[in-house]
Amino acid sequence: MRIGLLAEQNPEYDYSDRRLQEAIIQRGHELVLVDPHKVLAVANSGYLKLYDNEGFLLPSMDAAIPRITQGIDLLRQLEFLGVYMLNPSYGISLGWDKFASFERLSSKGFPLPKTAFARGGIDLQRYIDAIGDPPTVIKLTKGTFGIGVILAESKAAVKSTMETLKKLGADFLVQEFVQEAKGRDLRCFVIGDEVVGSMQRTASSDYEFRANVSLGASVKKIEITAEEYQLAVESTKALKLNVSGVDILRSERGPLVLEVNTSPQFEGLEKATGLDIADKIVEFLERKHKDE
Amino acid sequence: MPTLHLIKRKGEKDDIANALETAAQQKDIQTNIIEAQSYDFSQEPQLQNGDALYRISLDTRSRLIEKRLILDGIQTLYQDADFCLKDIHGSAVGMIYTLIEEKAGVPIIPTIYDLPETQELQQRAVEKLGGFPVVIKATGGTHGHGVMKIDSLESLNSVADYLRDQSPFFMLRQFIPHQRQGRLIVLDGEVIASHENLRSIDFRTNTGSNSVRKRQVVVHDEMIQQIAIQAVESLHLRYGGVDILFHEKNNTPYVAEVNYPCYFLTTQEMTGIDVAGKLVDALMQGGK
Repeated sequence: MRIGLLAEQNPEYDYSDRRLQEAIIQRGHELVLVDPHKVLAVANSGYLKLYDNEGFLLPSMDAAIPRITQGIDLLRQLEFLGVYMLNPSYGISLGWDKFASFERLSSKGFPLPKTAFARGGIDLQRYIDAIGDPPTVIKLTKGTFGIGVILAESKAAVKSTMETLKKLGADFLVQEFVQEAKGRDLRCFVIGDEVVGSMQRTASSDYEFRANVSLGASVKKIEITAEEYQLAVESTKALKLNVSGVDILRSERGPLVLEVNTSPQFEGLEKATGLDIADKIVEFLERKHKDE
Repeated sequence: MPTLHLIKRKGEKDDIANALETAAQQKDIQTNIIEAQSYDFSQEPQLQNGDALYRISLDTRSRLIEKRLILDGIQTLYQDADFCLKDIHGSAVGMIYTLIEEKAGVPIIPTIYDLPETQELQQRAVEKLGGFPVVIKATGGTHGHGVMKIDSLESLNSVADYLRDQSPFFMLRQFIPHQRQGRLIVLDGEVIASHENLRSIDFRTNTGSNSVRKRQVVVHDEMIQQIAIQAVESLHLRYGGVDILFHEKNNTPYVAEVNYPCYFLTTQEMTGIDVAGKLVDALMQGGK
């Protein structure tokens, strides 16, 4: 197969991208590296052509692995050209839009932390009324790797932080802080109908509530319950994704889906579990390609 | 006949412009509004010797126009026009003002001019400020927006991670519990009018729309007035609105910021003092 890796930077600088690159080659496929920010699409009556930054037509591909954080148009264009995407553009759009993914997950009955979001000029006090007493988490809708996830521990802090974010033009949602999770969450890596690996992430110190590996969180392999397994697989399907990293909080009222990541990193997971996640992803693509 | 030129953005602070125009009219002084958005840098107006220039708006374009038009013989509310010319634009200005005030010995709110990156630095900064809560202040905020109360290291760390790369500058400040915030309007070495904002529900006394804030007219004692005058003069200004927080336990005054130009109409309406008229006089007569 000829497999495209859509990576925003040189894969050598990103563990997961580098591992995917290795897996594609090790499994005997031809690798096409595509920088999504350097593709020119030319549309005219009856055709759509994609060129790289040197002016060459992008080679045809059987499948592609999107590892991007913005620019859904290239994914759509590749789909239009018949390339099988590991995660379809529609699912990735849904996953990127935190409002849309919460709407979808809540409407399908998934257990979520209580979350309030609004577009436009709603009175900020309404958020506080909706979520209840602090501590409260304020999340930027475009935040990644834990940056833009803010803890506010008094009403004054919640209100003044929201006002500042609004002044900065940032979109955010406001969420209950699940205190009993104590800076820990579960990362369940889903491929197709399976949770192929799971780990517990623990925030780096007593002064950190965010359990992101990029912020120094420690990881360890963990067995998840059947309920957590099902939540991870079903929430991935609900967002029309094939592969995802589902973050789950263990709360007093049971597991809560915190986030479904469309291009999850897996350095921590491979190291915690010894699993070869990159190999499993490429193997999944092979199966899908065969089925198609 | 000398003219008073007012620089402003169209549709912004019309009430201030109207008040100054009316005051000027009553003194038979001609006024000219220089609209920032439509200002033509290729055909700039020639201000005459004895004309006065006052910038109403805060934006960068208005500041630039002001710098273009300040020449010898043009009256302004700067003690030192060179200082205005060197004044940097944009969001850093509030931080630089605070820094200059502190160096001049003005009792400002204890400030760390940075959002520290590591937990160790954050801890040390907070200790230096007397512990939690602390306040993060964005420079260039108005009506309290851009002022955040922070209650713990966890919270500070998560806010700082995001804000550090944002375009306004952010400072870490001691949280001053206060019920009263003074606004003292200084002109040519005197406090000409003042009022106080009183705390309601919010920790910030200057937040919310003008119609809902609780206020009172206060004439502050000589010591407080001198602090306000010192704060304005440290910035080489003839005029400014000085915000002073009074600690709720011991009334210790802390200068929160000097506003130039400042919105003077609330103080004028509350005190009945003709601030607009005094500004026009000061502008047309030049400095002391």
